[in-house]
Amino acid sequence: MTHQPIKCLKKVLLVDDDTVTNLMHRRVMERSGLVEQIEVATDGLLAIDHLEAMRAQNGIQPELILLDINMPRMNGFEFLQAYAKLDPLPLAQQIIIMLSTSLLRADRSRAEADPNVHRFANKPMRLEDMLNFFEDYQKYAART
Amino acid sequence: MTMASVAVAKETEPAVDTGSLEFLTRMSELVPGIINVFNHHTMSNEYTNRSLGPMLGYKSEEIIAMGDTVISKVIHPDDIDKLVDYFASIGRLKDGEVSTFVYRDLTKSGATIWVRSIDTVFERAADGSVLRHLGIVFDITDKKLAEERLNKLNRELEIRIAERTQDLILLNSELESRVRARTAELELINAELAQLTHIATHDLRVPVNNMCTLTDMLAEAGPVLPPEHVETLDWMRQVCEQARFKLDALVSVSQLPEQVSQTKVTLVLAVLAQEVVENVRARRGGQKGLIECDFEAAPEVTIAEDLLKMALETVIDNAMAYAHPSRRMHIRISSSKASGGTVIEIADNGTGLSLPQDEEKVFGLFRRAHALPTGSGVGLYLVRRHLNYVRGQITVRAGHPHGCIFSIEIPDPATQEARV
Repeated sequence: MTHQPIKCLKKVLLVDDDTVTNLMHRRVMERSGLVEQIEVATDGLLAIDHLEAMRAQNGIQPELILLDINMPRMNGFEFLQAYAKLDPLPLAQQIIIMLSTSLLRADRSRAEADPNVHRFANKPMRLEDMLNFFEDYQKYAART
Repeated sequence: MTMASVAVAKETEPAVDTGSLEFLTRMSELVPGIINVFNHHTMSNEYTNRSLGPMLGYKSEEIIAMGDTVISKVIHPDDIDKLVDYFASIGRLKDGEVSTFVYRDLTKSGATIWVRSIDTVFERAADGSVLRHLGIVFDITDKKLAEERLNKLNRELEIRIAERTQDLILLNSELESRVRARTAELELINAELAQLTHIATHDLRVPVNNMCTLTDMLAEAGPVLPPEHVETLDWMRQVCEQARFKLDALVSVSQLPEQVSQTKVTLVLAVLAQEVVENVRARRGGQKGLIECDFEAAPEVTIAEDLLKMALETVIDNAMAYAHPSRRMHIRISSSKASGGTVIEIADNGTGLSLPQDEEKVFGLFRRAHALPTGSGVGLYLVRRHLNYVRGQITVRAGHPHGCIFSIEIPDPATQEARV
């Protein structure tokens, strides 16, 4: 069995208020050379604003959204509620991976129960994790 | 003298012909019960409106045939002596006085019926003694049986209540014992948790501090490190500071009960507020804006001084931190009396909150409602916890037209019982 070569992603959106986490994730992605553009939103509200702005401008939608739980203003779960209310994009190929250090089983169950969450993973993300997420995205995109 | 002539003469003189025997006969037939006139000298009945017989299941002739033995045959043996005493007591009645006696008769078939006799003096002899008395006897068996049933039910009910009370006493005692056991368990868990927090925070502090020092040591090699490693070292320093800060906050929270001062003092709000405002202004580099106070409605409050100072400092510092960039900062601190205590309100015209959804973020540990400026997510959490310990509270609502209003509710001193 052979693996499909991993294709580059046009855009990844990091939704996290922790500066160092964002810097580490950015470095991992830059080193992989598999992401053309990395956007950062420090809370859910800014992430929703970005997604809406891209729709309005017909700009590039992120294929992958890495979402933290605990953030000021709008947390990860509140983002998911707002995300579900966005008009669905035609031919949208976008997955959300919830990243957290939360040890609470309830947080994991709640995230996994959300239809828009592709999977729940621990952070910080390492290179292998990122490659797995990209592979997940490719499989998802191939199905849709 | 006949009964009829006497009765008519006494009772019906104004309206009825004294010779109207027919009237009396019909009246006596209509009256329920047995009307009788008893002669105390001959100790026998001289008149009855109807025979006792049918009530007891005898024919009239059978009663007459009993002669002097009638009492022993138709009166319940347990009531004969009492009835004799009652008859004697009738002899002592004054004119117009009425006496009542309840006793049992025996029917021909041997059943018991209850009767009530109501009697009064009818005629006296020349020496003033009672010669005849007039009486009426009613069958009250149904009423007595109903009473007996009711009494029986009451007795049964009392027994059941007594049993139920006993059950409840037992259950209550079991419940108290379970509450005591549960309280002891919770106290143990609480003590273990406190110890765990203490160990965790203090034991974690060692590696975190070591990591900070090691980062500094590595940074000394900065000039020879590649730029990316220098950047990584900087991130490590930030992470170490974050860890140290969070650990300190957790220590503060875990030591909360110890931090609550038990010494309540009466504070003049104008003096305290001035001190707090000066402190906060100094810390914020003399931030401009209007801070006004109005404590006329409730000039004093009794509470632990360090607690109120900490609460006011935190809320006023927040109000200044979240001042709106395009509005001149205006903070108003006021007090008022409320049912059971005093309320201090801090109203600002700052950036405001999205309430009620932001309330959880405002008062939650390590939670923040705003992205900027960055806050610790500890201050208001500690204020709420501290106030809760003295049965007070802090709430927030939207201000009009801008900002928000924090309300600090301080209960009267008597109700400030620490929940430690």
